[in-house]
Amino acid sequence: MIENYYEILSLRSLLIGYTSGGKKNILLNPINASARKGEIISVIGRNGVGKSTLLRTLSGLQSPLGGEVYYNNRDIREYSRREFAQNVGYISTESIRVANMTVYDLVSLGRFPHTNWIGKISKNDNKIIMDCLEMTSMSVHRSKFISELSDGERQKAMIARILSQDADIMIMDEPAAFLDVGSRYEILHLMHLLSQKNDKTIIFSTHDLQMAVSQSDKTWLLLYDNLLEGAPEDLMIKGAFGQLFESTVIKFNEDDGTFVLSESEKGQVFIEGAGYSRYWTEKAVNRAGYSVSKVRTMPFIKLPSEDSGDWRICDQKSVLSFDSIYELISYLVKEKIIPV
Amino acid sequence: MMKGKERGNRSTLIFVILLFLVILLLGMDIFFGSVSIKTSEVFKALFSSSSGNFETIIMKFRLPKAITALTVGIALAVSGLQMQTVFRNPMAGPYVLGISSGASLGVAFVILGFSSNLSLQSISGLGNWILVAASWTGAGMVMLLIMMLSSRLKDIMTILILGIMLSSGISAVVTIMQYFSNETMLKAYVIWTMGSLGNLTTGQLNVLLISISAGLIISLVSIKMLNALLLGESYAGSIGLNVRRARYVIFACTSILAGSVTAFCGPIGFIGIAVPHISRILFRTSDHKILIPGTMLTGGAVMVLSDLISQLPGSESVLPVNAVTSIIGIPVVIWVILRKRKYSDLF
Amino acid sequence: MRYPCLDRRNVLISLLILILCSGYGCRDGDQKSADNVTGMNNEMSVAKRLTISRRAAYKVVTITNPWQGANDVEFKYNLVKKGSELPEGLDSSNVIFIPVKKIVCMSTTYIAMIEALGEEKTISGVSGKNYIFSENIREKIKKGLIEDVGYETNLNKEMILKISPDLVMMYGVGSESVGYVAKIRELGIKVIFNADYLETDPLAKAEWIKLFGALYCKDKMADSIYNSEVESYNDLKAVIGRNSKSRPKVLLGLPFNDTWYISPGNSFISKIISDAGGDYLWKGTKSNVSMPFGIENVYLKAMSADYWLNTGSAGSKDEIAYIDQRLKQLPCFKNGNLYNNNKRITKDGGNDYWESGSIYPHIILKDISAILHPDLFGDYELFYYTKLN
Repeated sequence: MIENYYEILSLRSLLIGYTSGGKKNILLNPINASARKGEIISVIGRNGVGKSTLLRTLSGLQSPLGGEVYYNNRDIREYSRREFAQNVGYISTESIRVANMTVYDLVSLGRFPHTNWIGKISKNDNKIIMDCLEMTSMSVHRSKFISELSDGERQKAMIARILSQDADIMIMDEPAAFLDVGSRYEILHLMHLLSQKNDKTIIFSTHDLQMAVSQSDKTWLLLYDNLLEGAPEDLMIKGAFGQLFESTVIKFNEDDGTFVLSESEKGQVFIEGAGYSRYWTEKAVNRAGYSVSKVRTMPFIKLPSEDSGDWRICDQKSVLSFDSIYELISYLVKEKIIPV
Repeated sequence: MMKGKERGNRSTLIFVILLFLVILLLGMDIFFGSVSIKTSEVFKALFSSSSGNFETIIMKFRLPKAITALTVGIALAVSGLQMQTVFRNPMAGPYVLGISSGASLGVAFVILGFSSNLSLQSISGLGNWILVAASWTGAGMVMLLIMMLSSRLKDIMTILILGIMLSSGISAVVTIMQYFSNETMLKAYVIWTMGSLGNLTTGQLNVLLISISAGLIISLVSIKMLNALLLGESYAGSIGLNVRRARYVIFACTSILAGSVTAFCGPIGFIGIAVPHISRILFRTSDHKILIPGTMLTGGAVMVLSDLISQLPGSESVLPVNAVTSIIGIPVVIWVILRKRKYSDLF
Repeated sequence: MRYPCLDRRNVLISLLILILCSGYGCRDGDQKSADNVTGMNNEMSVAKRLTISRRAAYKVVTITNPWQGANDVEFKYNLVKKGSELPEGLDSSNVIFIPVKKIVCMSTTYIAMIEALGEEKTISGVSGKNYIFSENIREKIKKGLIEDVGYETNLNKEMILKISPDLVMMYGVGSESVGYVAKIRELGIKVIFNADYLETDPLAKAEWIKLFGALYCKDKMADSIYNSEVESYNDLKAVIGRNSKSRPKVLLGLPFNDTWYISPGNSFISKIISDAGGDYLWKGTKSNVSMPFGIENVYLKAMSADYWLNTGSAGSKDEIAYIDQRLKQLPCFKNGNLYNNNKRITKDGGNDYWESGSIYPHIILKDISAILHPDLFGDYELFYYTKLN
């Protein structure tokens, strides 16, 4: 047990939910979890389970229905709004629609909890803003109106804003939603940088399991009214991820943490050959509904080799030849071979 | 797309132009009116201690009127801007919380409720302070109601709808009162609703200036809050804004500004809705540090211009000031809406 | 029991008179030559919007343009004596049976004229009971003998039905006025749109008493009242014309906020002032409605006013000052030449100026000329006017 990591955020028997018509609606069982300084924490769960509510509660935008949240060993309710905002920042998927607001203006709003009564941007503030723009590679766009930005750019601008808030904890509700793959990984990279270099604690929710698993130090998995806490790999070993989607339609592949559409297995087929194409051929064959056999079957599939550049289905009597995986799989799906 | 410094320079330039325009229009409003007065006479009246008919007209009629117009324009424009930002709605204006309806209810009680005891001119006469008091009371009660509601209601849109419903409800009550009145009372009330800038005594003008100044000082405090609210109340809270307190401050400010104008001059429409759009187009920024002062100048200019036009210089007749503000305001609003293709570009 | 007056001879004589009366329409027994039939005026002498023409069996009253802005609007009413047969070819919807026994009056002017003819007992309904001056009528209202039927937009139709009058007399405000009364007309109640308030000549307004004369079969009485009024007026006018040495300038009214609704030069009051030997400041103007002038303009002109009359609701100098401080600068204010026509008023707001003043404009003329030329009539005490202090 390593004790010298600083626990910056701790949730103690926290009850989250909302009140409607005087009745309290609690979403999950009491939550006990924590975050250390500089950690990246991914929050995962099905829609409606309470991810957004949890993040909003941690950001101080909603009141807990019970229990406490401690930031820096103080109950967050003891902080003034301004003080709290200097330490915890929040972004969500809510879109901002303001005319005539430049990227610089938007980012400068992050300095709100630090500026004077009229919100004057000092030289220091300006430097911070420029740095944040630089970090999110938005410097070149700083005079553009936010209505002119693409989705990815806008999201990066929002991140720059939360950065300029200079908060220790950055809470982000689905920061990668609406972004293309490239932008997603840019953001991931940014988060990584922030946690390593600037010691920022980042708590973000996502539906992208790959993203969550590959980069976060810890995952909060919201499952069956409970919050399970652990490194993504720990949770994976416990089989927790697989339980996320109880469905006969989806199968969780524990080897690589992906979900695949499960099809009723049509059989097992042996693949002969080695090389780069093996991995992808196996994937395609799985997709077609066959699992890969360790024992030779008849018919079997032969991978391309030095002699021949095509895929072959070899039977006792015949050999069928295909130029591409596409042709191979089309045949498998359509003609339905039954390996023995 | 302009770099920061360029935008700063542009803003400054526009400020200077607007300031110049306001002074010019003020001057014109003093020089021109129903009665034709020679320029030399005007100067004599303004700067030397002469007396005479022209001097009285300039000093006692036109000058106070021009100052009133300037003040009213500033007050309504600023409160309109605040309402548009708080409610994220380009059609919001200073009266969206029901302030002018509250005021009109108070005035209706006095004019329409007291039948024959107070007739026409005594309303506009000794009426003046009674009307001011009645108007302020009505507006004040609406303001209190809105404050109470705003602390209980989470969603700002609900407050907007309630304000509109309140306005309609009060108007309905006033309509009932009008139904039971005779022509003379009706005429007096209708004339009040047309708005008038030239009716203030020196004492009243002083009170107006003081209350508007108070409102404007509060509006300076509200600048930072308004900027935060541009992001919506959720984000505003996350960057440290006390949203509840912000609502109180902004609503109070609007009530003081719009309520005072209505109390002394009757309900004057369209300035509050149209002018913020004009200043947004001129300054091309969302920063209220620039917009609030900018809107003040723009509002002052537009209102003084409206007053100038309503005088119909050269002719003996005059137009009610509300008619002129509508004629100027409505095309502006329509033009603003049409030139932007996306709703989100409006404000 | 026997009733002595009902013996056969009396009955026969009454019958005869009755037959003669019905034969000649409403002529209270005067059976002079045919000349007199046409001698009863076809044209009014000064009233522009009223015409009474007499046929053998009935009278036709024509009222033209009874509201502001009306063009070629004409209302014809056929007055037929009660109990007589409806003459052939007559549109029964326009027939009013006379003499009228029950009337609802929407304006106080009508009350005055009816009282002058001694027929106040026929008044069963009024509009705006607070604005009535006549003591008699007010008493009756208090006792519940006369009802208040409300204003034109808010006409209490059920009340009118309950009263079931022979006639409702009202003034039209616009073409929509016809709409307000459509319902009660549908039910057979007769409505006359009186246009007297639109007459700009003082005597023309007074001449409308002839309408009531016709309605109450008291044409001669109405004529004589009118004719004596014309004489008084013209005599007075001549005296004034001879003896007045100057033509003082006159200001009227009060401002509303910063607009002053100025009566045009072709209005009733402007004419009277002119006849009284004065000049209304805007006597040259012509308009159908009062003109909204900027207060600046009016103020400038008002600086040359010698007298200020008809100060509306202001009953004292203080009240005027309260309305607008700047008015204190006017010379006529400083000289105290301020007069208002509110001497004969009730505490609820009724003003006799509008009642008896409509019938006897010569009194108004005398009042105003006495104000403008103090030496003219010596000790004459103002009737409708009083000086502001």
